Amino acid sequence: MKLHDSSISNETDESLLAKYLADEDLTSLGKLYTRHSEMVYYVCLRYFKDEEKSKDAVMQLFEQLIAKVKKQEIKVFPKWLYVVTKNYCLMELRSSKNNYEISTDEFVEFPLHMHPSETYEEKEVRLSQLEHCIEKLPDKQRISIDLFFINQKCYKEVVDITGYSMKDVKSYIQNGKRNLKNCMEKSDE
Amino acid sequence: MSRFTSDIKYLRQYVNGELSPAEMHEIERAMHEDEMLMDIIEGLEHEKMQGYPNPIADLQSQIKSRALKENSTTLFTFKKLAIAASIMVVLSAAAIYFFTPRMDVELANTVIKPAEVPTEIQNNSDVALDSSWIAHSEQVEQSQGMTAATSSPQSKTPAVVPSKKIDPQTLIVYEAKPKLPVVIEGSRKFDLPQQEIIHTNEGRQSQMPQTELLTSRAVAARQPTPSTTSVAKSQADLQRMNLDPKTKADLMNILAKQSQEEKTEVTEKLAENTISDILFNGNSLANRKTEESITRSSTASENILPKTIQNGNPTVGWKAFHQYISEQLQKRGFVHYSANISFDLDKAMKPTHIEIKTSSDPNLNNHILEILKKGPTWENKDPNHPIFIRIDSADNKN
Repeated sequence: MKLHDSSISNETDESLLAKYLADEDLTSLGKLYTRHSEMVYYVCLRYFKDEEKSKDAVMQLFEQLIAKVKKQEIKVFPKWLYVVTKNYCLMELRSSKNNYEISTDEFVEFPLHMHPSETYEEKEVRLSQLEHCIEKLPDKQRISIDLFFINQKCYKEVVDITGYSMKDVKSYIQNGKRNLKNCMEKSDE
Repeated sequence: MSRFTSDIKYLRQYVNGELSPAEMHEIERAMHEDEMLMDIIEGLEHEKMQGYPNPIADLQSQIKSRALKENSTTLFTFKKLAIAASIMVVLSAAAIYFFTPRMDVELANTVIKPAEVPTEIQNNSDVALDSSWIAHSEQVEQSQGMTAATSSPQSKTPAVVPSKKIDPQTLIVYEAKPKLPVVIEGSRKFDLPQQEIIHTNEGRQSQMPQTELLTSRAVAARQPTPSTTSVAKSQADLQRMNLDPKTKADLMNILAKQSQEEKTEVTEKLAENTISDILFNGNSLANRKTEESITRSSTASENILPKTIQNGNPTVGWKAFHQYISEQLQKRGFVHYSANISFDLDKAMKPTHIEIKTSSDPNLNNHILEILKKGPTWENKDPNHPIFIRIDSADNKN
């Protein structure tokens, strides 16, 4: 599986970014942004649900990037670009007339340590707690969680097995995951 | 960040259900850990659901053209433009400085060697003081600071003679152009009673030559020439001189040409105006010099011509006038004095609008005003300009 479209450029993100920062050569930034423009477009489409608005957003974000790139320290460009894109979309939605309600929790911050290191004993304790919490979940959520996470079935397979709709399966898994998280946090207390 | 996020094509396959269950599960698990991946897939699913065409090719071409456009417009950034503008300003200033003709010095371009012109011509006050001409002999005792270029009255071609030791007997003719300042450099000494000295560095001959700026502004004609009368006198003087025939002939020709040109317009009055204006302005400028300079130029110990600068005469004569001044000032307790004074004449030909340009003692000023007002009447050679005189206790002694 290829990570980048080789037709765009063989240079790494870091080298293109460094080149732009050094020379202010917009061609380099253009290459870099082009490489990730699909991601930007689909993230925008996910929030705006509008093709034209998403296209405009792609170009607007490129304009913003010209200045923003120089002002911020960027370690992983695609991740940074995603954060910028999502925040842009949320800000646009907030300022739009649709009065789209967005929780501040939805704004993304750069993760620090997603998975702090644990010892084996700690993991065992947490797994026991997890099993206990799974048993407490509602049946539909528990079944969906069990099939997806433990039996490693894809959504389509879960749909086929359970007879739930795809939307329900996704919802059960999402909600079940959140309930498990809450349960685990209570257990930690 | 998931490894799938940058492979939209693969994700599209997932959305289209073209992947195996295991591959799909792998992506779905990644989605639960990667919000970015989830957002992309949701966007892809929305696109599939709405049946949007893939706009990426169009978007990428727009980005490319935008980047190229920006590059073309940012070939010169503001910073670079600012630097370029600064350089241009400096270069322009330098060009103006170096290529603008020097208007402060207009030197004539005739050097008449003493072998050709005897000292009699210098002694001719008409030639020396006629029109805007100032002719005097230079006794150059310094090896530097002497710039000399001369010209015939008809030829206006400026010439610059490089600094070099000039024959002490070289006669240098300076020509003052209207509205142009004249710079006279080097030492100078006047021996003639009718010549006017503006400045001197005789007292410091071992030092650098002083430069004095005069401004001639009154001459209407661009190229001042001697008047008809003065030319005739000069011609007569030339005849008496012991010159070789060739030089004499050349000089006579020059004077004759001047005479012809001057017959129509130039008058004696104009010539006097010119010289008086030069004197007036010259002294005005001299007044702006430092007090040290003023004091020095007025001391009798220097070999300055101790002659009053004037373009008017007291009706009682200069000797009586100086006597009167000296007596009056001595009565008031001023034995040593010197002052440069300008004034107009009222209807009774008495001094009015008296202005003490410089004086050796500020306490003198009021006394001088009073003495002049009570003093003799005057005649003015140039009613259009104020009379400019100089009084000096040394004058009276002489």
